[in-house]
Amino acid sequence: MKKVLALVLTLVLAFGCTSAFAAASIEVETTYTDANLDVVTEIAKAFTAETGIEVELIAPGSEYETVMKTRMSSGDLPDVWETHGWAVKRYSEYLASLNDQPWVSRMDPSAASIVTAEDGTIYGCNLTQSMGGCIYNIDVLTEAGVDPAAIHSLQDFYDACEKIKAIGKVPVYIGGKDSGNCAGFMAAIASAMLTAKGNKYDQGAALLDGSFDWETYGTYVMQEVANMVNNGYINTDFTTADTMAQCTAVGAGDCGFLWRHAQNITWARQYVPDANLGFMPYPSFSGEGMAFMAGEAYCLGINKETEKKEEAAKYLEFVSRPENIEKMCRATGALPGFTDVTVEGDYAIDAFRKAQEMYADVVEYTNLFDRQYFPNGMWGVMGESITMVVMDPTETGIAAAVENLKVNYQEKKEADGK
Amino acid sequence: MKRRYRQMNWFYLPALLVMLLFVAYPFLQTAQISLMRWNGYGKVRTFIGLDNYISMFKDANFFLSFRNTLIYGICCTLLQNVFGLALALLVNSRFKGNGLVRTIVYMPIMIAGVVMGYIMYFFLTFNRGILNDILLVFGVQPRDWLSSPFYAVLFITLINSWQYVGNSMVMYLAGLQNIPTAYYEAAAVDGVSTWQGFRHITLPLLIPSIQTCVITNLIGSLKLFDVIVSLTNGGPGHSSQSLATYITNRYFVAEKAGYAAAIGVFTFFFIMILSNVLNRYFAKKEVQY
Repeated sequence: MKKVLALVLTLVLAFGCTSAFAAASIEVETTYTDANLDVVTEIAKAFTAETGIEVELIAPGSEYETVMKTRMSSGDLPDVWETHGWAVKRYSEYLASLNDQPWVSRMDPSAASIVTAEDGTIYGCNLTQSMGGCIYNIDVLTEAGVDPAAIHSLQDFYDACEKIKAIGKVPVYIGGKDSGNCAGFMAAIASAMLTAKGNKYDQGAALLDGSFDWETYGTYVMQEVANMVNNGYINTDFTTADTMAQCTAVGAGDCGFLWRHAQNITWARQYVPDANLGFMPYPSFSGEGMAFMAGEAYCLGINKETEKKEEAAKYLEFVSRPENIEKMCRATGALPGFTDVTVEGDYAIDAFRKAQEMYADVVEYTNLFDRQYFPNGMWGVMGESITMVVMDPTETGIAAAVENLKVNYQEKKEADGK
Repeated sequence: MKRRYRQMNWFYLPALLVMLLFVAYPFLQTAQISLMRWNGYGKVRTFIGLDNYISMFKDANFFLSFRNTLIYGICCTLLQNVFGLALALLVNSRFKGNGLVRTIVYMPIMIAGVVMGYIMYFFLTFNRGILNDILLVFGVQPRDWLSSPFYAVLFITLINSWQYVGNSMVMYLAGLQNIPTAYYEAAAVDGVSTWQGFRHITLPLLIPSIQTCVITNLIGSLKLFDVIVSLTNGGPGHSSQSLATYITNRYFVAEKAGYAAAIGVFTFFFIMILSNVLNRYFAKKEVQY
């Protein structure tokens, strides 16, 4: 009797351990947390209700990139994951081609271009777009007598900084404890000096072919940052302030500007609900052009080796429906990446639309600077180098930061085989 | 008898397998990666021999992290043991509120290190930080405490010591309660003072507890990670990095997995040698009773 019982229990256990009776499920890794994660969860539940396919959401929060790098190195990638700005440069060798998906034709051309490789393969479903620019506190600028519509060049911007400084506020706030904020700042300055319309040195081609002269032009860029520090335009708690601090600062009117993507407007208003904020493109050196830096926000890719490709494709089709994209835009403050989605009445998106009108004659849309001109893996190095200059805005600090950028750029370019 | 011994050997086999799987195998993999140039996730790995180790000994930030690691290791161990023993002596005596003191001292251990770091960050941060708000009431101007490398390292040391002092207290308390009271009674008859009793009876008989506390505190502090990441993220710059946080920084931020692995191998051998030296030292000091 005992033997029969043992055999039955073993069989039950064996079947329990297999997926023979399990409902179909897919594993989805997301960057979102808190209220944004609630929206992702709500959409996933609606998907399960419609298709019967379970969605296991994994949300490692601020450790997302670290977790994904670990999962890539151990060959343990989820079925679907957010590419978080790296659909082509980092993840393309692990992602399935999405060219044949039904929603591709609905993707906004600018959103599609970011997730499309040189050979035309589409690696991501770019549901919402992140838009980098300058966030400003309208009340602070009004008090300082600064008209944002009159800012086009870096010099215009510095003049505005002087006026803001004169009323005792911090002109530009950077949460330098979080490296991404520093990297984003460097991307904007480097773009204004080297590559964007109205730049000073026109170094895009040299950056791409590897002939970029770091000692000359790299130093010019870092000198510009050092000048901002030496002129007192950057917050003194740069090294210890985090993203929450920078959003609170711009929301509460402690500073004039924040150089970061528009989602920071949504976060700032979560901390300071009545914050009066505006948005504008990054100034260029000459003022001839101004740039919004577009990137992936909520962008999903499918693991090319997953056995659940069909289920994963169904998930992307479901999430890309206009009503779901709209929900994500409202929750995160990101712009829709699909042409058939319009979002009305969202503070951050409305601020972006106003900026589009205000700067219609000069604005251009560029990819994130490092995604376009740097080899893979420079984002962290950019953040580290900006920190070096802010901590030591002398010739020594500038030279050390330029050397750090140069060595890593060359090493990573060699590793990329480009 | 031999057969019985052979059978006994099977009992430690599971532990051995776990050690091989979760310690030896990852270590060998780390050692292998340390000889490569690899970004940590890509499919291309290039063998570069000992270049990562050579770069390590030329890297000023590595030495800074190593110095900080020693500071965290030595200072936290000292503070935790001195205050842990003092608190154990206090709660080993009878007084009203003894249980409350034990609970309050032990409570911080129940908070995750990373959460403790964030709590302290909100306490020490420049804008709207609690400490600055309190100081402002007394007319002291706000200060960006964590922007100073000295204060950043100091606060990390103090926070980590405070958080884990309860652990040492509990271990010392167990050691104190194992000392037979007959020794103290005999000493009292001989007219021995409290200090002499502590110096010649308590301390020598506490050597096993001291050994355990010092080794575990030292290893824990040398591997300090979570409080640093949440409080300063290794900053300003790399000023408060420990070897553990610097390894993570090089691996995931700079995307230099081979280099990070080389520092990992160095850290492993450093902690192993130090622990062995301390173990041998305390083994000599141990007394039988």
